[in-house]
Amino acid sequence: MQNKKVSFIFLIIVLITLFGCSTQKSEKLPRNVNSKQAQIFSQILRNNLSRETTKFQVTALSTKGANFASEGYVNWKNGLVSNSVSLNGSGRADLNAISNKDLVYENYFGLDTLMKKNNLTPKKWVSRTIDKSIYGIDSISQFILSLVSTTAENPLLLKQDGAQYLGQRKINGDVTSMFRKKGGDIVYYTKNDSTLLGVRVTLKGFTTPMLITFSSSANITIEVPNENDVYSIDDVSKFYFQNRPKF
Amino acid sequence: MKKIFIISVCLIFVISCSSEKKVSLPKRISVKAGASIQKAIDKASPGDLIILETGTYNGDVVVSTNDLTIRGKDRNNTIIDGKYKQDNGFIIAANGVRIENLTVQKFRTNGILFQGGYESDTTNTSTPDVLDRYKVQYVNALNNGLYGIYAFSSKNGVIANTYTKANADAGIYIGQCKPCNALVTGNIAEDNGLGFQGANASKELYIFTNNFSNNRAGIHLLSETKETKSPQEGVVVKGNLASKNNNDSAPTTTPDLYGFGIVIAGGNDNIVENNRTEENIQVGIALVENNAFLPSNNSFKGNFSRNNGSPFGFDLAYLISGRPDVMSLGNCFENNSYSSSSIDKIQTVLPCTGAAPGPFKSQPLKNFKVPDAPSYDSISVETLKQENIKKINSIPGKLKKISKPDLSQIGVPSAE
Repeated sequence: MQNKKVSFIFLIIVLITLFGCSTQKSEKLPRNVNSKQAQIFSQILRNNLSRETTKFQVTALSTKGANFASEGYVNWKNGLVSNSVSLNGSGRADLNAISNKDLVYENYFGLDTLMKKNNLTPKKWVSRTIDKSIYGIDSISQFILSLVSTTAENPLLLKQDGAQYLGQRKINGDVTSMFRKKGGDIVYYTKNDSTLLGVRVTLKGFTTPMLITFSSSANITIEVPNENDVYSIDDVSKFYFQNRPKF
Repeated sequence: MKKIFIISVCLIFVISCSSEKKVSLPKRISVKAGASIQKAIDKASPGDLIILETGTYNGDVVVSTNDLTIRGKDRNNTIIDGKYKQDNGFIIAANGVRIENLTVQKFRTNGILFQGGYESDTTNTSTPDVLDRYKVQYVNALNNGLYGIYAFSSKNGVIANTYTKANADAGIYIGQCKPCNALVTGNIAEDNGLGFQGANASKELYIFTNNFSNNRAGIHLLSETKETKSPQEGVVVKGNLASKNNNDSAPTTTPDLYGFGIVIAGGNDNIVENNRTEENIQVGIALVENNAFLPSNNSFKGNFSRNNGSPFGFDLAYLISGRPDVMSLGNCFENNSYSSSSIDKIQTVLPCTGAAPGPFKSQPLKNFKVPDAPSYDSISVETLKQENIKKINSIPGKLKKISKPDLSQIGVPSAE
């Protein structure tokens, strides 16, 4: 009888504990940003203008893009990106580029050999105009370059317009808040001082969403290549695309 | 008998004690240079006067107590400095607050913001959607990332005798109010993206005797979809100077708004009278659409608009983008002094009584490449000598609702 009583009391305690835990309110996400979050969100693109050259990495967020990797550097103030892409999981850069908003300077593994075969003195770079609709590397570089603004947004209107807070996530060890504009498909990961540490986006021409992370400034200078080291695409068009990685 | 008397006395004492409201008289609170303004505000009671001694202070101050007055000892040397790292000088989330006689500078967003519908993160409370009664006077707002002085979803306000400079969006901005019940008068705004902007700011808003010159654009009233309470309507713009708004040393968030004195963009029922607009490189006074909002029933009377638009535009312009002609829509021009207009003989074809509906052919502006703008935080901050408020230590009474002002005596101002 005594054991039955003890068991019964124990059961009651367990039930109360379980019930209490299940009724604990967890934050329902996503939800609209509050005033403070709107303030943080409003500054992130303006903030990028004052950052030094920043390293980035691009990874595909599905197994479809498992062999794809891209990394590089961006200087938002100067409007320049240097980017290398690996397509077969080997770790070797298959394609390299330096881009601004109009032009891209490319090279790829084996290009110098191809130039020699075609009786051209090898030069490091080939320049062409940007075309996001054709080239994945342009889609990446132009998107990254677009993550800057000379002006902050109005946080009151961001909030009123339904900008959302999606919770928190660690990016390279730093806790970030995740924000998205209403109806938007870009998720921004930012620290509370409006430092952008990442974005999640499905870029034009890609079927897989990408995670692009930004890490602390690097002591790197991105420069437009010297014209003596550049062939125009017209100079090499006969053979350039034969071996160029399709990206 | 004696017992009854004693009981009565006790009852009277108890009742008077229990019904006595603990009302404190307004008091003066002095804040020493560099001390926390926020702490002083948090300790203050409604009606108090907070005096900031001469010196420099941090910003990001939130005012959530009604009827406070925050006043600097010296307008030019009581400085709330954000150092381009803080977001707002003051956010006012309470009714009846005055900010006076000080300088707010170098904030990433606003110098002073009156915000209806503010929601606090720490107290989990919100202010009413429309903030009621506010006043800013004898304030300098310099080098802020969006607005120098911003009243959002607020009514019964006064913005007077302020000086705003090098603010990236506008020196003064009133947004999303209908009615606004506000007076904007005696202000100087220069070297800003815009001198004054009113987005969906409507009814009982009086903008008079200000100097909005030497910005990228002077006065801009617009209807838009980002803010609620569209369309913009029913504002009086009278007796203002809006000249030489071609300043390529001014920052901006709206680069294309350059070289305009006064612009009504998609607004209705506005009265634009007795203003002087000269030497604006595109248009002196412009009536245009904004996105899907067409302007209607705006009247332009008695303005002096000359030497504008050479060679790109006009003194007076009524234009709808992409259309070679415009309908009257009740818009009219009368007794203005001008020499060029986008519609030939604009005052003859669009008088304020008996105008035909149209259409009327309107010439477009010539192509004009707007210059780049510097960043607001690259512009040097000047030391100023603006006029101080009188009676620094006087505790004011509660702010009252705004009455319609008598503007009948206001004429065209003289040139600078």
